[in-house]
Amino acid sequence: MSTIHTQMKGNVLVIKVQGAFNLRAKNMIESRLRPETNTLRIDLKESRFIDSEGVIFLHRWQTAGNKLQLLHPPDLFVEILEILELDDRWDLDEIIIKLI
Amino acid sequence: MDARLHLSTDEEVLSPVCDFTYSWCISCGLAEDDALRFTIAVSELITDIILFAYPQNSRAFFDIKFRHSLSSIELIVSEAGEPFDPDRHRYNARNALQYDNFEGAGFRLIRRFCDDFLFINKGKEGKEFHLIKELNTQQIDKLLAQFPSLAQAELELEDEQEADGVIAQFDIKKITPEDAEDISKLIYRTYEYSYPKEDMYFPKKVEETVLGKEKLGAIARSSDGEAVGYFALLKKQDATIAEIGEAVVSPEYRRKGVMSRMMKRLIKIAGDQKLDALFGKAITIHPVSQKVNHKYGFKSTALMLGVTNPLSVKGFDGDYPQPISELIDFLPISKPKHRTVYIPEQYETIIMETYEIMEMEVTIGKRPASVKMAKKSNIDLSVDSFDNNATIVVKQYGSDFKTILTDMLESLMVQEKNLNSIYLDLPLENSATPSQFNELDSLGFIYCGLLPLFYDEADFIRMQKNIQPLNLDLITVHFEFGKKIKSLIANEYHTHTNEG
Repeated sequence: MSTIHTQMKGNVLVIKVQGAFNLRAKNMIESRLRPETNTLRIDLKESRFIDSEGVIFLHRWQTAGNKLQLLHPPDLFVEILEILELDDRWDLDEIIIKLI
Repeated sequence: MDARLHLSTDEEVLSPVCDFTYSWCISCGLAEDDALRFTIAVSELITDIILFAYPQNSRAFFDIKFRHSLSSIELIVSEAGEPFDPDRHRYNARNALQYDNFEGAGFRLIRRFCDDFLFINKGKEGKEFHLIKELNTQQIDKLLAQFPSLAQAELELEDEQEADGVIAQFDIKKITPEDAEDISKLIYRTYEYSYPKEDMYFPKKVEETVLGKEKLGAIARSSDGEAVGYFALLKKQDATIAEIGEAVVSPEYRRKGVMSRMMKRLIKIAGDQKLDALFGKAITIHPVSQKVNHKYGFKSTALMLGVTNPLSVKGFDGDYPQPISELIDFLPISKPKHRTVYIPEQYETIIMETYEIMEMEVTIGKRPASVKMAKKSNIDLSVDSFDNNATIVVKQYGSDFKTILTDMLESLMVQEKNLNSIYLDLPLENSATPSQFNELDSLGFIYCGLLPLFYDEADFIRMQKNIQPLNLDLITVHFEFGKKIKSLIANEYHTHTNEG
């Protein structure tokens, strides 16, 4: 089952996705956005699946001028970006947060 | 394990379905990465159905069928929502980047993450989406890998030819789940990793199929308990018949009557299990496997042209030049109940002769003046992407049967470019069957044969539409009745080919 845990920290919505990052998870995230939110920090450590609904949502979020930080994206995440030919528009070094 | 789900178009079903799909893929033998990709493809398709199939109805329903064979897994999603054709919604990255138009993104992922994606328009009956992923098999010995039945048939014959007078130093028993590891070892010792059914190398999988009673069989053990032979009965899920297969004899025990005694044991097991019949497939590159089946009383009932892809075969210079054809051989175990069948006039003689040689009693039903059609057709399609053929099974005719069949064929021909043949199975106990045949002829179908007791204990006539060109002189049929079936098929094939 997809569930998300969220916490607002100023303008940053911190999200932990459990299960799939799909239409359901996307809709849950959207419902928790506030007008002042300009950054999403999403931990995908416990998310095995991500589909095009998740990827397109994140793409649109950035295109709208917002900031995105991803932790532990699944391997298939980058593959989906490449298949949809979106990878050139994503600064993955900036977006994917590597925890030391 | 096969399964069916009936689901509402609610986004809450997405994750449970994906979790199930992933576990099912792993259970069928798919590697983790491939299982993830296949699951994402499923997620994409279901999401599209939830979002777009029923714009006027927030709580509609759709169905998912999960089925697997030893070479592939297939997921079939059926829905009856708005008319739709995925080919008209191709993803365009430029549109996505410039105009925020991501239409078709899901279908691009589906196509990338499956080995085959097929869309079948069933007209008023709705739509079907087939997602297929092949299970990797080891590629070692080309001939054995693709034709164990050929190699096995040869050893079977040798086995029988020299069996007389040999003192049997082995014991034959019905297989139990505890035999699973020995069966896997026997397959490995005999074929190393060239046997195409990869499941056979996993004792756990063998055990599961025996436990689930999908597989029955006989195992031969030497006097010191070593497994030296194995021969299976693979139960057909929707019938009371079983296919013989997976035959193997350890090289040092060939020509000692092992195969012969296992076959006899299988026939006894089939009787004990109250199975109505056994069937086997015999390739027609040469007569060896036909002779083996015939020796045990099997009778040919159908000739399937162009079942599998061409390949290198011993005895030919280079590749066998065309798709391989197979005879279906039947052995009734019990006397089936008397039945009334409705046979198309042009096939009455051959089908009644087929019943006769199998000693099955039937009466030809009187064709009704007008045929009552059901409200809805019940048609099942399966695509074998490994062998490049498709089978359409009609269980019930609806008033729009011809439209649905035509749409299905068009979908198949457009999307499955490498198909060798399409088989069409029609119920002989349905009085509407004979009246369908003018249409079938115009669609390019010719006779294939009789399939007794094949689905739900009912008899079916199999028709075939052969797409790749065939030289029928290269198809070897050894016994008289098989030759008679071949002759009829050849006439129809050449008539259609010349017309074409």
